[in-house]
Amino acid sequence: MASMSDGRDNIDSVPSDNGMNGMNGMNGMDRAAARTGDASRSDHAPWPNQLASDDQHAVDRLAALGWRSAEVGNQSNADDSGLHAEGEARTHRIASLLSLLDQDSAQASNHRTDLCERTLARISAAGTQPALMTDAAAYTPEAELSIDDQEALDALMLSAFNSRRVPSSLRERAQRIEAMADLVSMTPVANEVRADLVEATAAAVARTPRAARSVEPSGWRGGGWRLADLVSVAAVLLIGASVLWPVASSVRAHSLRASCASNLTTVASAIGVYSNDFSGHLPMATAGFGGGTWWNVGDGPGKSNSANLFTLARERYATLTDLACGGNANAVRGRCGDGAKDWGSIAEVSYSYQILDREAGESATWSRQPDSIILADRSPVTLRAARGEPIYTLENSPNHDGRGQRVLRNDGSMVWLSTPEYNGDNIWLPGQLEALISKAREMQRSGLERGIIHGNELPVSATDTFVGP
Amino acid sequence: MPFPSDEVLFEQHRTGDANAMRSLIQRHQPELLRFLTRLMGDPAAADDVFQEAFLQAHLSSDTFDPTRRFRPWLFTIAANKARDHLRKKGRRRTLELSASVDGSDDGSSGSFVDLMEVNVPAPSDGMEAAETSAMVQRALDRVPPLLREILLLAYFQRLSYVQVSDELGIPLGTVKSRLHAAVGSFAKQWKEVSHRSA
Repeated sequence: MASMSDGRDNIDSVPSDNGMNGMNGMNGMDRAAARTGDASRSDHAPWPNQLASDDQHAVDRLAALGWRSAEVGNQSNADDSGLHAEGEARTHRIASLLSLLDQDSAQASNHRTDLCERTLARISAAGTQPALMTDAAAYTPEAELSIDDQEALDALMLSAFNSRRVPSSLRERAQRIEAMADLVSMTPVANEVRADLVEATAAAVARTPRAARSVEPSGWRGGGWRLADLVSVAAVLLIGASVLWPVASSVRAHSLRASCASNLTTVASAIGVYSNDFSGHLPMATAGFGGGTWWNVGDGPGKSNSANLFTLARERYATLTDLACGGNANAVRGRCGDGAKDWGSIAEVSYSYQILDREAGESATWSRQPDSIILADRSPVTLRAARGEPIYTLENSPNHDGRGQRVLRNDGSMVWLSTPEYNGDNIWLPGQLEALISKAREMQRSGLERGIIHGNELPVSATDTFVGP
Repeated sequence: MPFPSDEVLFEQHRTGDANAMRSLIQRHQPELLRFLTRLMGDPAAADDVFQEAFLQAHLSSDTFDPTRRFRPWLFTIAANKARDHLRKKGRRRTLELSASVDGSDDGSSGSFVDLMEVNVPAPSDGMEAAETSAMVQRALDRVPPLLREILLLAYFQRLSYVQVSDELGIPLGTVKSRLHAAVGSFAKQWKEVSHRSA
């Protein structure tokens, strides 16, 4: 829903992204701009016909005033914001230019009355026909893949659906398509022809006289089910359930992983746009935690690292839906409310973000250390530690039923980790704790004591992956 | 007696008031028809889509969220219908998808536009309204579709950047860059079209 500001948006602090990486629009309008943060593709061309900064400011002022020239005069008379003569002249010039859009021919003017009657006639003819769709404004009858996805699909098909043969610039998208195709193909039916089944079926057909062949069960004509029929049906149901249940569970797991991959792709794109707007820096809401704890979700940016990640939602680079994993039952979705700076509780947070503390010397930037991890499925370690429970350092994220975790690297690429270790670094722990644990590895099997992690630890270096909460 | 809001009228229509929809159509006809005519470049097609937009709003009335504003919802329906209409008529080139991002299909990349150099005809210049309107349409047709659509949506609905961002679900920075580019592109095309006609 559009926020009803009074038009005087404080948008001067929001820089233009100069055409770099627009996000997907909900209503499909931005389908063409659905580009990801794949650093290997050079598709970040600026818009042509750039306006000089004075003209850009003039457009911003006019937009804030409702796009009409009359309001420009009222604005300059109303306040002393320093709308100097040249700026006002430029704003008037833009308003005049755009007022050309209002001009229409006399024919169009005369045509309008008849159009109203014809429209009403069509509505009357439609009567009380039920709605054809759930939300007309969001309906796009012909869904289109983005150009990148089209190319990835083409490349995947040419590679006989083997994503490893797809060019690296398209491989991530191809893997996502491959994962979706896997969902379809996961059917426990043998591909090869079973000769015994064919023979048995043919023999059964041959034994049955034509007049008696019917779709009705044999017990139907007798007026009731035979015990043998009931036993047969029950056996089929039980066997079917035993086969389908793990299949359904596995299908759901694949679906969640694919959904998560899609989320992180969107988040990577959002981080790319943000970093472009803010001199290459990763999203941050606070310079540091002052030595205090960073897992107090909801207490404000100075006490919660999740507030740094929440910056993407607060500044409208992403939505809460993009930051919500399907495996987190407590995840909130949609847009964040005005004034919100963090999730409400640690349970609502789906992804753990690299602990950023600029005061401690961290100056994390996008694509600076391509092999480092900045985001992961939420950490089970900090979840437990924040609740005062024993932690298990090799435990996988709860987002995917403990099967593993998807991580986003600093160059926008993603990997699936079946354990929380990446290049020998435990992503749930800071380096100093890992050093301690390596000396006491036997203790990991029975769980470490409570209190070993306090929530105020920081990474030892820019290359020490340590995510939370 | 104050005029009822769009949302009140639409609710009245939903509950069977025969005149409520007429009021809505009459109220929004000038801006919506102008928006569609400029977007599609074809008055006859704009007429069709205008009717289809209101018809769709009527058919989807049960699903309309009363906490939303009616006018942006109606314009979004109209924009979707217009896009579908153009696609079916084969006027939407597949290349437009990539061209709309790098915007280089208007033959100039990387150039700056100074709006103070763009001349807008005054009413006293003697140009016929129809002639001016035709030139405006020629200039608009040369603006990349993505930019044309966002410019017209923002202008005819008088949406601020935040409202555009909320309606379309795109970042504020992206809204700014596209509208800057849209104004620059329209200005450049108008300059060329009006120069040729001089």
